[in-house]
Amino acid sequence: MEILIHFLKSTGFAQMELGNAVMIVIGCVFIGLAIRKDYEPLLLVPIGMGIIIGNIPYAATMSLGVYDSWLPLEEGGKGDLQAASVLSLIYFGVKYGLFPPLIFLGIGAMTDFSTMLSNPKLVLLGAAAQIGVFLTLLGALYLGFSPQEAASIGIIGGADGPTAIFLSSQLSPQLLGPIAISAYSYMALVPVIQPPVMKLLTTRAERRIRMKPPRQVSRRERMIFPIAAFLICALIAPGALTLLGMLFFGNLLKESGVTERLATTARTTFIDSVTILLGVAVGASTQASTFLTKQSLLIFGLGALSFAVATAGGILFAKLMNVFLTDKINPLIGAAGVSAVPDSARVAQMVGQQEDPHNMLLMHAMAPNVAGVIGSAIAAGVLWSVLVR
Amino acid sequence: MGLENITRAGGFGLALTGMTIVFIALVLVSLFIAGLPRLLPLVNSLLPELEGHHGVTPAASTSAASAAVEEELIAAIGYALHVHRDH
Repeated sequence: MEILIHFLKSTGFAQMELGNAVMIVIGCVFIGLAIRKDYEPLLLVPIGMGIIIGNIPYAATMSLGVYDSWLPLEEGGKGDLQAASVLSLIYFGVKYGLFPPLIFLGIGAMTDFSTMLSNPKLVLLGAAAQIGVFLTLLGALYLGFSPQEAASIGIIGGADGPTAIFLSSQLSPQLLGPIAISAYSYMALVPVIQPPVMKLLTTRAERRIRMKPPRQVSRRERMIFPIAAFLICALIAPGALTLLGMLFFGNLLKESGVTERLATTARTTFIDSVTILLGVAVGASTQASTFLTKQSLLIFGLGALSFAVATAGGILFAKLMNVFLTDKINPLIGAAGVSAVPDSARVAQMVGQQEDPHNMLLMHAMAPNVAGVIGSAIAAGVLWSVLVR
Repeated sequence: MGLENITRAGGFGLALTGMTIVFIALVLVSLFIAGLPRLLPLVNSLLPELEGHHGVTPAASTSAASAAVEEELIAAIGYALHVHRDH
């Protein structure tokens, strides 16, 4: 009888707190959004399940959660490797910024830079959208976050989950959970957040602008680009070399024509495996005791703001460019500068087609979209190199 | 909370510098891309493209070649088996 009572006390039901229950509901909502609304299912399902896994309470003497680490005692761990939980070993890839560059390798192997190469001025839209990162940084500083925390929160505006995880793991690991969840949630909510901003800042006539079809890009150009672009970006912002190195390496695998097998692996099974591990680990890191705080709410608020500002930045810069250009740009594609590949490009296409069903903006929007990935990685590199302690 | 936090952390300078660096990097990338078609003839004269590298990727050609060899092998085995049974 005593054993039974002891066991009952150790069950999740007995130890469940309100916070855990709330987080489990949030996990279910994530999975529901992914299944019912098709919002980034490849991310939200692993993260949602991770949230549920991470919020099942267990006895403190058991090593089960992501924070039951293998680290030595003096670093807050449990002293020996045997005490490490499986989840903490998976979380290692998040905590030490291992997964984001691996994801970038896969993204590089699936990215076609042709539209960007055919219309280089659209690269600037990817730069303009990074205003969201830096204005949010100011907002976070205003609210009392430290510069390192503010930089990690600001990078949510880059709309790039791996970059956000990479920077916060380096600058403010204590905020990694809320920042990662916020970044991925807003990436999933791109079709909800962006259209109102896009419609607010453009006229009907602007949304109907048709752009010239992109020129044919040679194979040589596509092969030279990843090496040259990496050299330019990494020499300017060495802090971005891990992310951009893997991005352009992945792209070189794709474009070189002699490593098709590696490229196929990188863009399929490899990125999928890393995404599963990253999603579950990030989700499981949202234990109610560390996640349900006032800081997390502020981070969510600032994250939404940064997405809206980044979208506005890209659109307004496109409008500014149109003042000087003879071949006008449809300002809707400026919104794709927030990266979130390829969702924000799809949103530009969708909003454009609401005004003109035959206007094909998707291929044009992919140019600022991939430029945004490069831009947010550079922004992360700059912030890391300036604020590293 | 307040503007003082931003000024104390050098936030305005950080944001301005960061944004400028991002722009410089992407402007340089953009200029490189714009100049790339003019650079290509020079690259092509220094490193002419190999005949086998046009169009079909080596990986694809390798798999196509191995598929052809496999078919020949199966045909040969089939023929040998047929002859063996006949005798």
